[in-house]
Amino acid sequence: MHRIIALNWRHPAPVDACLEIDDSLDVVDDGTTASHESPDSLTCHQYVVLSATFRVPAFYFSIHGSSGSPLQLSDIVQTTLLREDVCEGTVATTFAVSHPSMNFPLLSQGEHPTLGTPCWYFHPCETASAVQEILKESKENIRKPLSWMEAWFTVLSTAVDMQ
Amino acid sequence: MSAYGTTRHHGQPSANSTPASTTLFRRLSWEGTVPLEIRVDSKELPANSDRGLECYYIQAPRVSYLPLLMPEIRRFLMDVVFDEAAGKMLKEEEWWFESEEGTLLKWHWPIGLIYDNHTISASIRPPSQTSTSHHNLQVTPLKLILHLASPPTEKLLLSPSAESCKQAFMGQLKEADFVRWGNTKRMTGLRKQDQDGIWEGIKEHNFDDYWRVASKIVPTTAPARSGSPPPSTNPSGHTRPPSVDPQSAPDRDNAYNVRSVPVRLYLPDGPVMQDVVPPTLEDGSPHTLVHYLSTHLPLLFPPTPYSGPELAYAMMHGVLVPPDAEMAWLGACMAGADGWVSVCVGIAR
Repeated sequence: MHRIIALNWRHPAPVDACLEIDDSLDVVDDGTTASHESPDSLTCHQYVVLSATFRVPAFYFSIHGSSGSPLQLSDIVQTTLLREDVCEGTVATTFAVSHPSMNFPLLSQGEHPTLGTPCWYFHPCETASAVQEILKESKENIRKPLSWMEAWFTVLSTAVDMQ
Repeated sequence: MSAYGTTRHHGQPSANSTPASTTLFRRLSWEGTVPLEIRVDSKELPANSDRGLECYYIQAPRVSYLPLLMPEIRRFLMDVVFDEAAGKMLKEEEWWFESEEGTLLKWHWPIGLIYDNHTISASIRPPSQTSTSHHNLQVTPLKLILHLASPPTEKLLLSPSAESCKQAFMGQLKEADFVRWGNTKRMTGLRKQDQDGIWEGIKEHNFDDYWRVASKIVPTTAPARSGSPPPSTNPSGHTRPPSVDPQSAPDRDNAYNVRSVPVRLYLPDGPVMQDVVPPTLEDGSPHTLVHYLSTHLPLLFPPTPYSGPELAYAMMHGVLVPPDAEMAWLGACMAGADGWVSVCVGIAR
């Protein structure tokens, strides 16, 4: 699963760009990336990949500025991709965002499993239990229970603004 | 010191029935080295440096990482190649390595894996004039080009620092732990001192320091029925035969009780393959290397009966591995320092 969307800076410099969002979850269409000429336009490649080790989906992404160079972590946390409270209590280095209570970094660098390109990803090991919790609750509360992937996206969107 | 005698002997990390053969193979894997020839890209040498001396040769441990070599390389460059002014401009965070063929080297891969991956990639290129052996497994220096600036950030993970390397290493250890047991309790149960200690073992390349901690997380190969006898040796240095203690703590950690062995398969030009590798097959027999290969790469390793010529070979730590090697045993004795068994497949000529 792959898509390309445009992002904003959370506190953007005053720029008049009118950004369209290419929201299709289908196969990549490189020609229609919505980044604009403005210096603040950002392109975000997002992937959902199955983690071979943890056997759950993992969310990989990379963000590029208009010049094509990838964003550093310190800039990534300032875009609108991540929800503001995600980074509370975390410690950031140039290569990871970690929470002291967690075994693995929350967000770290990795290679895309098949493309080999450098990406950032949310560690998938806590995912399965979070999804199970949501599925359990959805069965009890909602008439139409969520599918596993819907629950997974719900968990993901607590951290990521999925637009 | 107990009444039964010393608990340590012959440099074995633990006296709890670690067979001597296990320790031997762990030591052999640990002490493997590969020759590297590192040359600064001539376009990046400043005008007043000594061009005749720009190659640095190093016999690097297979279990180490390129960022850990940087301080040594830097000292060489400062002493021999750059003058003081140019030397001050060296910024290690901008360094990056490339093979002769233009392949970008991954700083988070163990050096041995980089070397073996290069060997198998060469197996699909036209043979050079120096290839005489059947599998072209001569040990020649891996020629690396060191660039000092402008890393291709769209293709390479950022931060070639020792810290990020350590985090990648710890991450791999935890993943291996998870693959084996479905949780990471053994890793997270380590004290901070031990977690730092195992990386120090890599940095300092010290077998005993590394295994002091690793023995707490790497599966054992003792016979599955043994208990935990009190440490004792007779004067000739043999451990006592397994006791009838039904507690069997080593059993819990036995290599044949994992749910999956952490194994990755590397092909000359493909993505890395990773799949579930149970220690025993459905019929109860041990999962062997030949079974693993013929299941995952049937076109390169045709299942028996097959009597044609050998199409490919499988290498670990630079050596050909016998087909009847058991995956569980490999996971306990010949894994890399990061916990993963790396099987490199090359094409036979």
